[in-house]
Amino acid sequence: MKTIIGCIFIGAGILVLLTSVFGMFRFKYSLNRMHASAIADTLGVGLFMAGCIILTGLRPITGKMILLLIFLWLTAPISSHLVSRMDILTQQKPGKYWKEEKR
Amino acid sequence: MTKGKKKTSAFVEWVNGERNSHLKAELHEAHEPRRRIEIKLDDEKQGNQLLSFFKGYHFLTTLLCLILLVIFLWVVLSLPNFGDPAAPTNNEVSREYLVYGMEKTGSENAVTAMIFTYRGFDTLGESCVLFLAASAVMMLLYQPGNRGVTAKERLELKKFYDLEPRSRNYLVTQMSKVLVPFIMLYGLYVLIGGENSPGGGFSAGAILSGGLILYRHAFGHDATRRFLSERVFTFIRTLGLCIYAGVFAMYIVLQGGDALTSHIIMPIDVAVGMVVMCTMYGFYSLFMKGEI
Repeated sequence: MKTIIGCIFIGAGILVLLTSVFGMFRFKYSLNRMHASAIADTLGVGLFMAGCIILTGLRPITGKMILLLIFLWLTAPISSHLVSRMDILTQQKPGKYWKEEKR
Repeated sequence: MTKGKKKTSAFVEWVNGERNSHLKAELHEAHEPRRRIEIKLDDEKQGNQLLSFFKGYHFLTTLLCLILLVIFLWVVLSLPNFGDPAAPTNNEVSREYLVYGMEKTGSENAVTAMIFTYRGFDTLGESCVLFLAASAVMMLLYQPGNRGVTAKERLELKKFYDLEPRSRNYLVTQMSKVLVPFIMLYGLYVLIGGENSPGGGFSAGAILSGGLILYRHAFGHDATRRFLSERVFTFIRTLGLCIYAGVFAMYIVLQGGDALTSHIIMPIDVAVGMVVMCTMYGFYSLFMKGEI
């Protein structure tokens, strides 16, 4: 039972990672690509690690996995935020992605 | 925003991008082109000399690369086959290190034992290379407060060299408040536990400098300079090299006594960590700002 649940979680994680890989190659603009890769950073890694935690059970290494997951969830969204922010700040045409102010 | 408009809520303003006035200021600054510093030559003759030097330079570098390529390929041809039992790497020396290494050096980690005792001279050379690299970058890029330039030139230089972000990012600041202590603690753990577990001076120095760089990026130059000023920086990296050289010289003078070997790993480990940390942080700082 434990194995089946763990495998389901890992399979879902792999599915999310696959969608993000397809998104990375299918999307045209960098912000859309950032959206796709950010999903892999958070949801994909989270599902994958959850599956690994379920598969290993209660052992000292489980705590390390949880710490790793916390670290990744703290840092990865911020790094993708910074990259997309830098993309917006260095655009040739600034109004490309957001609506201009209504006058 | 026009005057006659109804006042919208803060959230709607935020969604419409009207609240982020600092972002717009940054946008303006980001679109200003960076100035380039032109190399000024004294006269034409010097310029011609430089040009002819570069012509010969390209020719000589190509020649040198070709010679090295031929030598390396020749060496590769004379290497023994992979997994050959008669190859010179498969002799009794590695077995000797693995069997008697722990007994002789007192370190459970065979890699650390190799790097810091048997191959200590090599690591000393590596530390010297790191030290010299940091010194060379300092010679090229060091501009302490841009002394001896006028105010206008200082402004231009600041525009050219100062690659640090103009405003602190809130998310990065909050995140590094949580993460930097843990990163530094983990670096210290790797540094001190390097004797008996995977780790050691080089990796620990990289982790420590990563924490320092994150702190610097989040809180700015002034915050880092409070505890890591230029004097402290120079002191730490010189002290690291001196500790290493002193300990290793003592070890050699006492003829590699087995009593001493179990004690020299720890100080050498810490010394290498200090040198590596200062080198990496110094690179970042000098390339970003031109001073420590």
